Amino acid sequence: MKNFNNKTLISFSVLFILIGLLQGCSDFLEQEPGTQVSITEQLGTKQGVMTALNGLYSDVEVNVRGERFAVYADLQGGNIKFSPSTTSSSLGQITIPTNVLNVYAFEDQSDDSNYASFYSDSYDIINQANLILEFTDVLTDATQEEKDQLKAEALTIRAYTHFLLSEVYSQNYGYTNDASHKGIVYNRQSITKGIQYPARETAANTYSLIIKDITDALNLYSDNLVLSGPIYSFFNKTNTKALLARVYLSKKDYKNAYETANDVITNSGVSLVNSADYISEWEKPDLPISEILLEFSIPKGNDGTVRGSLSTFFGYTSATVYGRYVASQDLLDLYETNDIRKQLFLTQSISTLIDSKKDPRNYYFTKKFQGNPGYVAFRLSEQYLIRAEAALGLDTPNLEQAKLDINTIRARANATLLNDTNNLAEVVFLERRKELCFEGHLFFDINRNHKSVSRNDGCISLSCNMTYPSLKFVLPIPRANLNVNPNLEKNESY
Amino acid sequence: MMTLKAQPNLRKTLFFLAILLSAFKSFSQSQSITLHLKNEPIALIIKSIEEQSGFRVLYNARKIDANQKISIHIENASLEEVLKQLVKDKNISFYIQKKQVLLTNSTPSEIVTVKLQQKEKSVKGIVLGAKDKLPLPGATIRIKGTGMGAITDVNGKFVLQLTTHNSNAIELEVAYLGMQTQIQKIDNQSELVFYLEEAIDELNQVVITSSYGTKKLKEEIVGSISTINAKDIPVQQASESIDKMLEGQIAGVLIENTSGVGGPVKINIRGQGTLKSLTNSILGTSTQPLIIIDGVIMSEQSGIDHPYFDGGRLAEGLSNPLAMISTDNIEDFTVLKDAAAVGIYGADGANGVILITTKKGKQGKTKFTFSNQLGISSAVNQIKYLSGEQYTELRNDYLKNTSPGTALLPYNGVNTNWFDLLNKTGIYNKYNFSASGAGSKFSYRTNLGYLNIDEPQVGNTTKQLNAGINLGYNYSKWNVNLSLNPSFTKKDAPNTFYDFAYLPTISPYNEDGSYSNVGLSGGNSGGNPLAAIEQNRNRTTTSSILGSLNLGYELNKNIKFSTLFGLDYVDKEQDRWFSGENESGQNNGTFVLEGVTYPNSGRRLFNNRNSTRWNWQGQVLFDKEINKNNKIDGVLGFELSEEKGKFNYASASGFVNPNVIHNVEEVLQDDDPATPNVDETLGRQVRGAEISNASRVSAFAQVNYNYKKRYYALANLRRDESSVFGTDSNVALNSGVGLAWILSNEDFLNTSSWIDFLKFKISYGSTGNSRIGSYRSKGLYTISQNGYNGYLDARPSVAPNGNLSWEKNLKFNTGLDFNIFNTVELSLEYYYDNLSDLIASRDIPTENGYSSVQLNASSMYNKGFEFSTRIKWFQKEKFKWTSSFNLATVDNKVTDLVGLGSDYSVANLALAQKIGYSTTTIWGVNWVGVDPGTGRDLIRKNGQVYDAATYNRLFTQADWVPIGNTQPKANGGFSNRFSFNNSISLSITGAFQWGGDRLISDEIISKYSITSNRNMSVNAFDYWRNPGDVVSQPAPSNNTLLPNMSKNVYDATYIKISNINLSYNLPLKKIFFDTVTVFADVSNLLYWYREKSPSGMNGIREFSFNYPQARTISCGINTRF
Repeated sequence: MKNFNNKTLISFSVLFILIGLLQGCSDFLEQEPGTQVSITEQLGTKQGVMTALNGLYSDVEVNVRGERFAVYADLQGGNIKFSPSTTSSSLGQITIPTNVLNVYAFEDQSDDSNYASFYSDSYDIINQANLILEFTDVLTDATQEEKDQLKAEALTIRAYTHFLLSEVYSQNYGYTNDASHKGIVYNRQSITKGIQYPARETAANTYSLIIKDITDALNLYSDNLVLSGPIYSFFNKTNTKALLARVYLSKKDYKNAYETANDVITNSGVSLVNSADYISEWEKPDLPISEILLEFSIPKGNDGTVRGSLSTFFGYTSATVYGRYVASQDLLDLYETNDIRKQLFLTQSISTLIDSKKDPRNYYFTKKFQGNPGYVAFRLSEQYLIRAEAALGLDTPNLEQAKLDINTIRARANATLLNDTNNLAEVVFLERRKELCFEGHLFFDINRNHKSVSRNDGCISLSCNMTYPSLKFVLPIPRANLNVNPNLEKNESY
Repeated sequence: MMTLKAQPNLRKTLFFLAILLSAFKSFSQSQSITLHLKNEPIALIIKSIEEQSGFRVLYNARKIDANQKISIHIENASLEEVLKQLVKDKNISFYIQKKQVLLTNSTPSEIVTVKLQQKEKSVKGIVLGAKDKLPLPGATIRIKGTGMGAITDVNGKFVLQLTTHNSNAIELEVAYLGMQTQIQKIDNQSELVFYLEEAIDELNQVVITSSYGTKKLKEEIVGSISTINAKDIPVQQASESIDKMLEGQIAGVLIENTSGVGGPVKINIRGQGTLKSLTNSILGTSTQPLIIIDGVIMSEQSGIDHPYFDGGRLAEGLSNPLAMISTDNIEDFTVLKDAAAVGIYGADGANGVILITTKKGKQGKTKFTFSNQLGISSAVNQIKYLSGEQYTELRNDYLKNTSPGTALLPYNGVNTNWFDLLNKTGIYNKYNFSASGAGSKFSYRTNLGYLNIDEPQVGNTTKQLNAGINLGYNYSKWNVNLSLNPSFTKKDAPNTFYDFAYLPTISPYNEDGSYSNVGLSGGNSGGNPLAAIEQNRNRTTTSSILGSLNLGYELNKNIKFSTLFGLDYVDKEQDRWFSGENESGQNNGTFVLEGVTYPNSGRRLFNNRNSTRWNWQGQVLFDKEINKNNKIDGVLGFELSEEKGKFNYASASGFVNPNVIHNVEEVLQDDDPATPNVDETLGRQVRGAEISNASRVSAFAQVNYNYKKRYYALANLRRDESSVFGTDSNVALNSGVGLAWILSNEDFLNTSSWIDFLKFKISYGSTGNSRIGSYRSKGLYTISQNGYNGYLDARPSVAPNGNLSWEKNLKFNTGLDFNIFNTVELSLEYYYDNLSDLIASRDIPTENGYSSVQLNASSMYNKGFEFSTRIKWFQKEKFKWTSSFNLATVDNKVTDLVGLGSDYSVANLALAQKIGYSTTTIWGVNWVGVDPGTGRDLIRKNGQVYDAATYNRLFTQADWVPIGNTQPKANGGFSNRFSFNNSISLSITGAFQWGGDRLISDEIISKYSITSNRNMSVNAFDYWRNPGDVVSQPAPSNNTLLPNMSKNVYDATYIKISNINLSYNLPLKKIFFDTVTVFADVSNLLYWYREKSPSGMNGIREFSFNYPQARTISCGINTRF
């Protein structure tokens, strides 16, 4: 009997000890989610990081191809006016699309900003890039080369997105002499390090951080892609240099801008589209123009159907389905009659409500974004124009190179060639406007060159003209962010 | 054991075992014994008796000399006879109890003095229940004044060996748990019959106080525990699960009033357990109590963060897990409310705990019961809608006001009453069969119930099969219990349209008899409902099993070990088919197969939820009487549990022949030649899987102490470690203490003639709510197909918060239990629950990459009183009347909101989260009336009256004011039971709510903009037409939409008779049956609302349920044989 009791006691004791061990054994308490995956699990393997990077590209694509950013520079600068509304309640009426309603009038509201989602989506992208950067180093199943490539792309995306934010939310680099004016929040930490209440950097710091990220990335790029897909749809050494050239130009670091653009033009292996193919290259429905350096791939559904492209805003499909953003006469008038770029517009007659009567009117849709167009982030022509503008800004301006580059672009467009080097700064500005219209440059060019906005044809705002400098040349930091973060400074006048 | 209660001195030493357990023995009791032994020690003889009889013989070796030698010669004798021989002339008496024989020293001193006159007498008897005349095994028989006695055997029989001078004067006292104690004088009888009445005194009831094997007499309970027993559960109420039957029957337990069959359970114990969701999302912290059935922790059916399972359009319908248990199989339903009671459940106890015990086999021969109930159901208090003519008038006025110049529609003469077409008289049919019994070692009970509800909604049926199996086996110190509750439910509900207001001007049929189109397509409410009922499918099948295996070992009378493994397995599949033959399956778009373009018609959807939850617990229970005045008992144990949810879904739309049901696999399309690397053939089939897992490791302890049965103290402690918490804070430590003082056991009240019982109690402690949804702390990536360049994408969806922790709930409770005049039982309690660290979503700077995180960010309290009483007006044989009544209040207030933007966020201010207000507050604008001049709504704000449009320009959601509170001031219920001649009984149960508001959606009242395809309630017709009209609704237009105007808030005060049941015991007892009872029952008999509906219009009575509740009238028969 005694024995028996002891046995029982022992077995129960053993049981309790086992339980005690189990208590200590934390594996039982580690539960991982399913198709939703915890951050640590997702980024714990090379494959996971690659999937996350792929998702990051999707977000970058949506952010720049979305209505807000895609139309911003051309709309504010005056390349764009509106086609009549297609909704039944206001059919034929020319109205301002609601997503840009206040921005278009230079009176965006801080507490209900049209662009609040652009702001938050951009930082979402930056956080994703930071997560990838933080987890890639400790991967055990990736080679150093693969890790470097993953990090290079993430760094570039982080720099690129900050650069876009700085273009929209911070005055141009030359706004103050020493660029001591407010830049943007530069976020180099993911949320896993804790919730941050960051302050804005100065413009000078913002730019040096962007440039540091890009140069770091350039040191890491290998020649092999880690993700699958067309080469032009990912950041690589070449298009990252193109980005760097653009950043240097924006920073008015002309020497570096010149050299970097020159490097791209010389070494990219890409050549300019020739004159004969210029229109047809743009008209191709699915593939990008051949001189592309970076075009983000548009999203497609399960069945291969396109889920969104720039044609939503710029395309013309039928009399009832068309984009709301068309070329203004201001832009069209810049082209010489023989300029083949003048043929890059699709003329459509659309019934328009005028004085409570409906009349057909002609509208000019850009041919750049018909079919299934993606967002053109970088193409070679821009590098020529960067080199031209930078050449003019060098300590000893290289006017001949600038003229040469402008003429390269002009010759292709069948436009009159420059014979002299007079007033080249204005010429290069206009050439950019003509060549790069609808590609998101004009308003930033205006800012960089300290010019004023003048919108004439089709302008339906109370503020069609804005004189430089203006506090309204940047958008308001969303009020919600200011409310929760005492360290964040607002943009004045908002 | 029961005998020993009266002899504490003996008890101390009695369990000193002298004899080893023999090997396994047969179950048989009737085995005869043959002994031929000469001058052998008693010990040896006893051993032989044990071997032959299968009984264990116990005695105190200090009092009984087991070495004295005797001779015994007996052939084929019964155990009794053998024992009689054995103890002859030996100052030993014996009691037979269950499978044990107790030998005791039987020489009371006063008897010794008259030894010469002593005579021996053997008294036999039987103890039967008065009502059913069934034997009561295990009843205690005591010789009054001596503390000696016996216990009845399986057949209710007992034998007492008396050695006394005047046996006739001896009185026998018979006691049985739950029965009234009876005393009879022996006189000259040698066989006595006791008929025991059911006890009126509920205090001796044994209440289960946790799922860890702890029990207490009701009077000794320190915590706040309410129990409702099988006999008080109106199982004949026409419902499919226990929760609906108990509405209003337990103080402080608000069981939400619902309509329809099989919807999720909504039980609030002492108020809302967490913050009200701002978005009405079904995800997030659980507000439901922990439900434990026979030790098995039942998994709650809750949504997960996935489009096929989050309550959205593609998602499955959730169902009620309590439907897994047959209501006829429930023995008792216990609700644990305060910290002293739920403290042992720690981080899962905050919302209270419900313990359900299923019926076990009772001692006796195999008994069968069979019952059948058949009834009819019809909708009550349905919403009145506009007629075709009224609708046309309203629609035309709307068009005139919004699009001048639009051609108006003349009334087409059609007036379809869709409600009548989609609803009919339903049929409720229930069968139940059970068999149960128990021998000395083995007990068994099986139960099989079948419920078929042909719902009043045309086309919808629910079939439910519930079984229950309970097996118990006792051997020596071991006991094993197996409980299994398999169930199968099949619900067909193609009629998802029953509460949608279709246009009355549409005829359901075309002239050729085919179904007409109603102008709504796709989704869940599109299509001609009559066509959809015939052509669509919406079938949910659920198979589940809830089972536990319990093993116990009694080390000695002080220490018991037990362990339990419980499993809750549910497999549920919802299969939906939207036929292309009606508009519900006619989707946008086309597809191409073999070069032919087809419309995208027909849709098949499968949602499968498979959950397995197990818990394994082990505990040691101790119970020690230190001395006469000090007693201590308690439990110490561990528990592991794991829940694994597997979710699968498959869907596809676009079938070549969409008019007949097809499988998802049949959705094919041509491969796109432009993308040679991708095969699009199967591209339109959507499939996926999701998992949701959680695990927990816990240890717990509880100690009870009492002094002189007057002062009681309780303490409990629990440590939980859970996978759902953040890694930084995954351990929860909770504890509670309670004190009770039974004043009526004090000398100064002991003699009071009118106070039967008076107890004061108080408790305080902490609990938590760890059911916050899995992975909320982790930070998630969501993976999607077809991402960038067509490859997989992973993008962050939920921000991590490693500090995320369980919600805390500090509970204070105090109360009085007061029984007077043997008639009235009163119980009054006050509680104050302080809830903190409630999880809320808070805004963070979006520069972090996320706009919000989940934080433990707010606090609130729930406090209130609970009062319950039970009065036994009459307890005569001929007429009995018992009433019970309960009432509870809840006062809720948000006391703290941790910042991070809540001070600014409009969305957060708008709803239910404002310091100083209840989380159930309805926020909105004060409606003054409709301006007779303009026909527009007028709103009062800060004493100023504004036109609704002006108001909307000037003010935002942040300016909303409280316009009501959904939490009632008090709610409760009542029941009355009458019984005549023990053969006719009548019971009436009801529930009520005092105060509490309801915001009715404006969709069918004044949202005129949706009239293009929806009808409205008749209230909408009271709209402004001409200047000077004094009306309740504005002119039909796209006017400023303020859905939460005070005019849409209704006072929901009501009294409801939920069930009336009349039953009659047929006098058929001698013919095969033990009992035959016939009954008639009405469920949901009537409602009384304080706020009356305006004449001809709808009010709270109609608007309470979008789809009306059903009233069921039924009758049935219960038999036992």
